[in-house]
Amino acid sequence: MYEVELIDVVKRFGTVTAVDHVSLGVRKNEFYSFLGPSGCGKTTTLRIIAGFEDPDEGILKLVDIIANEIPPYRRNVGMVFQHLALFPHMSVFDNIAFGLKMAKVGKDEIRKRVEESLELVGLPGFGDRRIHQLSGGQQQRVGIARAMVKAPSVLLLDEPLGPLDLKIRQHMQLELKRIQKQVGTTFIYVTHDQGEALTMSDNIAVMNNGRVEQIGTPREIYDKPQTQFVANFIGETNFLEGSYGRSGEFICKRLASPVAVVVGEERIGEGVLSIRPERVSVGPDLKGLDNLFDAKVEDIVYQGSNVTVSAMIGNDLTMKIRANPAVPLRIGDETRIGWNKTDATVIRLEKSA
Amino acid sequence: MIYLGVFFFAPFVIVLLYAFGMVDLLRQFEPIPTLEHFLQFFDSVAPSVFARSLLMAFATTVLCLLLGYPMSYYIAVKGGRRKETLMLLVIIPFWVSFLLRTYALMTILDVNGIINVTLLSFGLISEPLNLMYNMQAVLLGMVYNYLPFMILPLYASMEKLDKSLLEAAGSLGAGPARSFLHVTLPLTRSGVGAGSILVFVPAVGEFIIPQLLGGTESFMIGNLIWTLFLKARNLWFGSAVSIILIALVVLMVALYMKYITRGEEMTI
Repeated sequence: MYEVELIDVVKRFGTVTAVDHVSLGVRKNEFYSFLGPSGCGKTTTLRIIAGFEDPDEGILKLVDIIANEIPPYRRNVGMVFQHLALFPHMSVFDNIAFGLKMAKVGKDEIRKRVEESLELVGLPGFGDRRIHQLSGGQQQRVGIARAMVKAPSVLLLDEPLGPLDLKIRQHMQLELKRIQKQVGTTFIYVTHDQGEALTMSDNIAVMNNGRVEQIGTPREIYDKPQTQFVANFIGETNFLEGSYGRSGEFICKRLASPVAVVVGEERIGEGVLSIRPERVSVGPDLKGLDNLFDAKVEDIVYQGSNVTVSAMIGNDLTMKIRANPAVPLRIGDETRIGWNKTDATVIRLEKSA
Repeated sequence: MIYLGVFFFAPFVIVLLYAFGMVDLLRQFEPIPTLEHFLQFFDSVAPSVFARSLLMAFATTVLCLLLGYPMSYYIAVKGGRRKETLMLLVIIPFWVSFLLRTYALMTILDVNGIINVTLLSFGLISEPLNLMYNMQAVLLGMVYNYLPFMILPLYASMEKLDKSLLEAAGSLGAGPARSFLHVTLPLTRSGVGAGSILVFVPAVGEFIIPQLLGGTESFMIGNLIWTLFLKARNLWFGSAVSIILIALVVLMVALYMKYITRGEEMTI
């Protein structure tokens, strides 16, 4: 049973289809992310779950109950807004207490639970402050406390860390993960930041143009991307276009020799080989790898903890390689690059692409 | 500053001097500072006229608020693409002179006006209705003329209202009515305050509308001052009445502002 389930949900705004036949299921106590570029429909999907948008087609289920018609204030769903949406005319205490007051919880109980949730988000004793007296990170915590205090079964977070500085953002990522573990609520998290999604999520739905491209754990998404979009959007990658040969090897259009790949159950015809830069090795004495190519160093970009080497193999195919900065290479050097076949993924070529 | 000095401050000082009996252009008596014109106030019709004016202005403000609030709410929140058009419709009457608009209202309410002619021709009434020269007509004219002054600041405060606050209230379990009560209303209070003052202050001193649409029962301070200055030529008493009016309005506005901006805190 899913805590939140979308079945074939469609949402149109005028002629634009914002959410295009999305189906997915979120399990209890899961940290689930919707990841995609802006305009991919991730926020609209979240707003459908919250009840701020009505789906044009399809079914939304909250714990097995069809929820399409349930108004937001009757769903047991909390929401942390991208631009916080804290009530400016109320104190921190009153902001957090709002949901409890609406639920007609007793005064003493409210006080107790507000203080507990301030504790939870690391702001004990901040109840009397005004919203504008808080820093961005503190306001964000109040937003989380406000949404959490009613102990909703699902907490929706719409890019809540977007407006924060990098350092605070990284800190808040860990905090969110800690809060989620501590209270065990189902989190649905919308973000365009792939790093954020990879670090925090149990499962990720990668979205593009209103459709779900791939659903999987961060590792599955990163290591076994199923579409070119996913491979490209999450991390960096090298694409080699080609097709399967008769004995299971991958024949790349721009390389003279075939590439050894893991042969899947289905041998698709046209495809794209995706290989992450950090999975490619480089060095003049390279040996013992499934694929080895002579290469010429075209460019080296220093990035502190590593260098990105651009190396040309074959006649005109440039590969990006992430290497140790200590690697003794200079632009123009003749060298070798290589990778094992388990480090690469063959993706079916998207017909439209 | 010069503009203010010449057209606001100087006349005010002259009126003040008159009120205390310190000016006499016709040299009928020695200009000596006196309070007699202020004391005369209490022995005249003035207090009852004041009471009526305040009541009328108050009624106008309340009616404008009751009409204007839902209108501005609708335009700002639900207006969508038609927002600009709807606001233009609110403002368009301003393009026509105030006087002209009031005369236009007369042609509608008159014994031979549109309403009476229509009702008579449909046989709904046998005698023309007396729609003019009473309190209701004055009130109608005032509400009609002052409504935009209420809508503009209300609209501005609602436009500023972050719609995601209403969604937040919804996700916290507040239905539409309680979202309105706990979020929309407190956050548009400044608009309510500004609009009320913009309507109330000129409405207290209004004299053209009661002059044109009203009868003797709707004689207001504005009419009293006008009569004292231009008909009775009692500049001293007229000035005293004006000063009392100004003082009263300033006092009321100050109290109201204090009430509206009080703490900004709200306990549910």
